[in-house]
Amino acid sequence: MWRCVARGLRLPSSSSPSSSYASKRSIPTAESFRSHISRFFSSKSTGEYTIVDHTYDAVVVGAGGAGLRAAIGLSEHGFNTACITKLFPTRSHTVAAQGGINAALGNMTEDDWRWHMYDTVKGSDWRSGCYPVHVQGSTKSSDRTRELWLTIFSDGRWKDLSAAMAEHTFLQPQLILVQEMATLWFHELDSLSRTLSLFSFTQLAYMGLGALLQKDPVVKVVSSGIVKRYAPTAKDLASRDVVSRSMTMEIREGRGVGPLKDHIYLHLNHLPPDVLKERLPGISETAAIFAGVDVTKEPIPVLPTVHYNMGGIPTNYHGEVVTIKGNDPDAVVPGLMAAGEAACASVHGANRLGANSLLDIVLIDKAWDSFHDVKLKDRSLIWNSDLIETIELENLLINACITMHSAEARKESRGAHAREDFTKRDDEKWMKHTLGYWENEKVRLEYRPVHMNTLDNEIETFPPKARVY
Amino acid sequence: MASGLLLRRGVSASRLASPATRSVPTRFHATEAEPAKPNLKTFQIYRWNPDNPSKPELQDYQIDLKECGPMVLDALIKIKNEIDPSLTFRRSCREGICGSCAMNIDGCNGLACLTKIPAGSSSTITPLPHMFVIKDLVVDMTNFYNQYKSIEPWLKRKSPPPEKGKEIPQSKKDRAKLDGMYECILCACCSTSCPSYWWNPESYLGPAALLHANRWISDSRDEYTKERLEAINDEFKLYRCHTILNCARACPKGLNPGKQIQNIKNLQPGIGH
Repeated sequence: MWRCVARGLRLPSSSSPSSSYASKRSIPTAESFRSHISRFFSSKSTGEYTIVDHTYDAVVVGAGGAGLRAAIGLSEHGFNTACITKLFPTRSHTVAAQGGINAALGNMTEDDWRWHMYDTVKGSDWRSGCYPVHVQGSTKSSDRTRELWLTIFSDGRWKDLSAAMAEHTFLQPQLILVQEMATLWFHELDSLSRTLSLFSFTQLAYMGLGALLQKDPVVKVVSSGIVKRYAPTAKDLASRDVVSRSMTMEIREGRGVGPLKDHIYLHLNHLPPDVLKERLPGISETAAIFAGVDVTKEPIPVLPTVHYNMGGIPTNYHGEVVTIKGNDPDAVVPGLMAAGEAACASVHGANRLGANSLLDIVLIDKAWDSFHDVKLKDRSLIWNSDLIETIELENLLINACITMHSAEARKESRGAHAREDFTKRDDEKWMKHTLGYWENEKVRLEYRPVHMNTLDNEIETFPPKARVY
Repeated sequence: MASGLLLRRGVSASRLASPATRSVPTRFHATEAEPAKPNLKTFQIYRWNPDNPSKPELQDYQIDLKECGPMVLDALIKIKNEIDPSLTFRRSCREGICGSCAMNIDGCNGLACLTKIPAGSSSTITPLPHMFVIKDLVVDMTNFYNQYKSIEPWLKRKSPPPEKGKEIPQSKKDRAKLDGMYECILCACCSTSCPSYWWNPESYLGPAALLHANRWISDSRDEYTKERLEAINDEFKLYRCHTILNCARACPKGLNPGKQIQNIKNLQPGIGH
């Protein structure tokens, strides 16, 4: 079930983190050959388990877009890199992304990466750090993404990583986490903090399923029009959390459709069928299969659902994991990086929707308590999906506990974090990131400042203001 | 090997329709469920445990479809959650985009997440035919992936991009030539439905790998078209395709690998030109 993708052995072109090990391999001696072989065959037995040891300069956990990009960048620069994933790489969730990549191209109408940067900071309700957004913004216009990945540091060590049902141990590599947070194995990483109060809700999921529809601008333009009550200027092109919340409010006020008035119809049928076929083939196909709807003639029943975890392992804009050490809120954890959905470089900020958190916090703590009663039936050492799913459940519950406690503590509304008891944004008290720690089955919260400054003088900072669409 | 189970092919006449027309589900709303008399259905599911390698067997599970989602994957997850947690199958996206949950349902290959639970009181679910079974419905995909790798599924160039450090442009018309191929999700439904592939699973590349070979042969930006054609111009790799076209019937994405293989044959020197 866990697949280990090892890149071919290459000579390091730059000084490698494990210089002694790397120099051994740079000359094809008998010893280096043996170390190469030993990577595949050295093993030790612990009871009934056979454990295979691996030595790599870097290990990437997860093989979605971020993981594969990291693995390619590392191996191109001579680092002996392993990429471990629980799915064959083409099955990772990146393949389900249909919206494309945001960039300020300026090939259709006038555009500027600074506008993209402003949209991102505003969309985040000013909880994005301006550092990471600045990097992201300039990346889009000048194609500097690669450079981010090559920032590999040599003094770091993370403790050994156990993977694949403890059958494989990776000895002290530079570790890069890209696996989606919710299912990341945290047993080895419990000392890490997580920023988890913020889940994004997308506006379009099929009623009764929760499968996500395409997040294409075309869909937003033609969706039902109710959003204009909440965002009079941007209307359906308003930020995702605004649209989702509009839909939720409409349903809660009794204006939903269906026998229980619990969802909303999305109309696409005023678009010509050939436009639907060319621009929205995925949405048309899934609507037909899952909702039984011909999008050229009928509306699609939809409702908002969880879409993206804006929180994650806190990192700086280099992708290095940071934590609070003494007075330093940006202390780098040596040897550990995070990227993709696992990371929280503070690009997305506070785009999350959450109501009823006070009620949920009680329920989620109870859910955690009941996890102690979970039993495993499948005792197999081969393809034991029962065991994997139980471990994933544990991680999900821990993350859910941290999410709920963080959200309850944040007594304001900001972006997708929407509270009915605290409806206003409070920059004085809450312009900061939440860090959640899981310690002795309890949540501990700390806070890191939001960096409002940009990287250079090319663009000024955006002072916080009310977020109106 | 899961051979011998193929005799059931054709049990469900409704599934013989083309992929485009066979999925016309009734609308499913979880909220419309109301207590009524149960709608019981039995799933006969292939079980084989590598820890206790005796003969594989079909195990019966009965569930109430009134309390189940519309797709075969919903039924499998319900069985795993509520009846037997040791039942093992691959699944991930549950929306037909990752290709994990390919299996044989009432004799026809398909993705469990996109296949409606067939009508009738009983259905049989087995692993992809003619594949080595790792456990229950999980098959060994190594050979399949290696064949995909062998066609070098990446862009290969002899000259640098027109503008240094920039992308290689492609016209809308050239991009349209990849329609019907780029959609492939490597689920292996086609290859494992092909009698030629059953017969020569190692020497014949099979419809999925050949469809991808044609995807790169047809790409206007790729500059190794001739070499790609030569590499598969082989009695076994390519010419074991006898246009049986089970591949097109099995494809859950509605593609036609047989047609793409025909295109490769037409492009080979001395044929069709």
